[in-house]
Amino acid sequence: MRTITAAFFASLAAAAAASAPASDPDLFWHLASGAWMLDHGRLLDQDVFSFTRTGATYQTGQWLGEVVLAFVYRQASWLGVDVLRAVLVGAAAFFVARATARVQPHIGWAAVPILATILVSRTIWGDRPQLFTLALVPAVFDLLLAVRLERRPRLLWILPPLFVLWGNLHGAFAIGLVLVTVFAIEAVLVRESALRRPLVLALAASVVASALNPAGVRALAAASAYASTSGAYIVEEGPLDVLTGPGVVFAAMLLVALGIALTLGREAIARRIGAPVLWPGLVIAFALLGLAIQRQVTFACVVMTPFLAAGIPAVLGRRPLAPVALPRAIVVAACALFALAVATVAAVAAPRAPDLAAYPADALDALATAHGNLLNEYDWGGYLIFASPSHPVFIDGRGATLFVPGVLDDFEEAVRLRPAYHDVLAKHGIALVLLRPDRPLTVALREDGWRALAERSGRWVLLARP
Amino acid sequence: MRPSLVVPLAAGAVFGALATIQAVSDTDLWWHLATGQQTLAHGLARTDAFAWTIAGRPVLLDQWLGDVLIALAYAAGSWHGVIALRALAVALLVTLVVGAALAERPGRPLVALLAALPAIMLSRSAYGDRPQLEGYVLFAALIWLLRAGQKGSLPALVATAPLLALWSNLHGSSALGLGLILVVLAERALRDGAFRRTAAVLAVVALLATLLTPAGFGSWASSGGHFLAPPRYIEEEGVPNLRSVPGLIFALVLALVLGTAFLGRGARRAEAALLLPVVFVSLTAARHMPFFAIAAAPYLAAEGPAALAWLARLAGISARVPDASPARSSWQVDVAAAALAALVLSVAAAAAPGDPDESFYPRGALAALPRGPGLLNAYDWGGWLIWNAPDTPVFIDGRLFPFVPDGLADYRSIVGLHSDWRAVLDRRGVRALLLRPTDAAAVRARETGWTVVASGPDFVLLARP
Repeated sequence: MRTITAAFFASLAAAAAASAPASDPDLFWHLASGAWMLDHGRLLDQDVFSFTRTGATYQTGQWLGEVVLAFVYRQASWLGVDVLRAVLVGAAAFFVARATARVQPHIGWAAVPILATILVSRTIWGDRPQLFTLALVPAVFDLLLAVRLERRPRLLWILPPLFVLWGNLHGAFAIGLVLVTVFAIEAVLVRESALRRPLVLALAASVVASALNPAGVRALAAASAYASTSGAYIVEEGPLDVLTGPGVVFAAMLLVALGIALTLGREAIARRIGAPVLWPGLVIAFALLGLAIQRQVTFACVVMTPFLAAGIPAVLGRRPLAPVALPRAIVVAACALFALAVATVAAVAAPRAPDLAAYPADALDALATAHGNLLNEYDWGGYLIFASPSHPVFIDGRGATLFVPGVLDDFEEAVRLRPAYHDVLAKHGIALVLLRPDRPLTVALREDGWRALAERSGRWVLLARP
Repeated sequence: MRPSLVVPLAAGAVFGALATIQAVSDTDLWWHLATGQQTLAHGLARTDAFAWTIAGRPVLLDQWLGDVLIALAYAAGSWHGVIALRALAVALLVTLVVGAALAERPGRPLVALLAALPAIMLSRSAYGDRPQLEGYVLFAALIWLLRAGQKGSLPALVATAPLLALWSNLHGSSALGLGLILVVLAERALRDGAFRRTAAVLAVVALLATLLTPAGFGSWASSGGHFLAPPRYIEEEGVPNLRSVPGLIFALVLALVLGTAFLGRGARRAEAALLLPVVFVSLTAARHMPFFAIAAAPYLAAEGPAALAWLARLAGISARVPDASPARSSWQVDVAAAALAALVLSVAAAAAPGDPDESFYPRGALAALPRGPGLLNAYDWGGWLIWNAPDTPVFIDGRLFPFVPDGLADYRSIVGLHSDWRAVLDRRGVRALLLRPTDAAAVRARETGWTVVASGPDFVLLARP
């Protein structure tokens, strides 16, 4: 029954994910990077897309994720990207639901927090290598819950190879290490003799395994540096606003978790859910992470989901339900049915083209015949790399790894029309700007006689030096 | 037996005295002071007299008493008086927070101090000279009363009504107090059927208490606006940033409360009624973070040691929960401690900086400011100009809400150099700009022939050609 429940929620999430068009601003430079690596047969570790940092060495820590994205795109175009997204989102929902079903077999009680988590996870359904992290965090969480609650330490052998893969797919593998660390600390604290040594060894092996990537142990340092940055210039890395949609859902889940803890206390938690020392470790670590960096809020919801599903009925005095075991044939048939349903949705509803409403797609023709260095909007850099490779960009979504601080500071100085903006334009030999019309620089340059080569009212304008 | 007040009063005196080190500089103080003086001189003004963009329009009256208090303090002792008021408010706040924590674990002042320390540190950001500080004081008092009420004290619950009436005239944060009272009453009514009628009466009284202001229902609207739709473009109304120092302290309190709740004994629905609404409000904006630390202090003092001891024993460390037996208290000793605390505060206020710190403001531009309407000033300088240049009405200032939406939108169009900035300049009749040299409008105005009338490292006054 547990697998059927998980497959049901996975199919719901996958169908929803398959129906959304590709539109993430970072997708395009990830695709271009992956394509470059496929074409050249080696890692891309020098900038080849911008004119401000040409030749500079850098690593995004997600080369394999980029290669997978580009490979899928080459094989199946945008439909392939949609299907890859659906598979990874579905996998995430599957493991969240299965982890939840380990402590709450009743699908009714499990449904609300699972659906809430799927809803919050929509904020990171963008087509980037982070989708792999979206799937892998719940997978590792589910595995660790099985180890802890069902005392199955043999499952831990899966972790090292998983972390080798994860360390090359996406830089946020450190979140997985945090998960393993919390479980290992709990096992040591409660002196769980059968699990203590295996979990500590699994943690050590996972740390070593995650270093088996082109950046080596520096990938871990990069993850720590990322966690300590202010997030001042990239919204998704800034603190969470609990008055937004995902923020309200997360806040509600956190408040309910606190309410459950205050009402039940450790002994009732031990009786109804198990591992009373584990849950505060998970909730505290991931809630604070989610509040500090909003793109990580999904993972806070992931770890709270089983606790809420089991805790709410306990607070309301409902009796726990025993798990139901179904014949394997029924399970397989049900899963096949769900998979068929998702495939049908993908075939019928998955968009065959990306949603480019947020990008200056209509400017490309004019841009193709224009000459000179281009100052582009930050969010459009990736799209221009992909769609207009003849014009190297000023800046793009590789922000922290490549453009901070020098180029980003110059970008801010110019587009916000600060006193040295003329110097920035001269320093970089800017002859073209492709910006939003409400940028102070756009207004000033128009007043100074720069020609509009193309524009769409309220969206974008392409200006050329007179 | 009630706990001794010596430690709370001593802590209050120490932190109150420390609060006097900082010179007067709050960007909003000036318009509060001007408003308070206006009220003392001419009675309550219901329309604006400071900004030329909203001249004659209605203004908010939700903190008129706070403004008057500041003006009275200034009248009594100039800037020393303002600092003395700040010291007194901080001392009261600390005394109440430590006192509420000590009430949960009498005889263990160290535990109470440790539990209260995050609240004291977090509220440090609110030590500006505004009615907001008095709002925190009354919130701390409310927490003490509500906890007593949850334990069965009817007088404590009754006392929340006059407190709420006072708060509603001092500062708009009283909406949080009203909400909390209603939640606490509802929780107690749910578990105690005999209390339901009393709870209903107290709830109605609380609602009516918040209306005993010149603002009437308007006091609800302004508070609701702040709590549910904070203006994010104002720094203190921004999202709590856990990667800042105050954010880290807030994160610590949240972690301690979560840890204590998970490892505690449970059956704490009353605590949930108090803490859950406050934690949500605190998550909404940086300036609200201290509320949660204040509300959490008594809970951490009551339950924290037991949870910590259980965890320590689990880890094989011998740990004993400090007992909660009350220490001997005496009114005479408490009164003597209060007198000593007052003396310490008086001396500290007298030794405080006698002049405001105006390094943030464009003092060098004052002599060159045009008289009458037509100046567009930087938002943060509006209050200071109201106080220092009464002949030059401002475009905008820290009162914010009277300027929403038109005035603020026009201000942002001009300063942010939106495509219609010239049209807005014409429509509004702006003839001078007082901005930072790095503001886009200042850069562009200079380039397009506006005359620099005065300038300094951090300001530029430009006149339209």
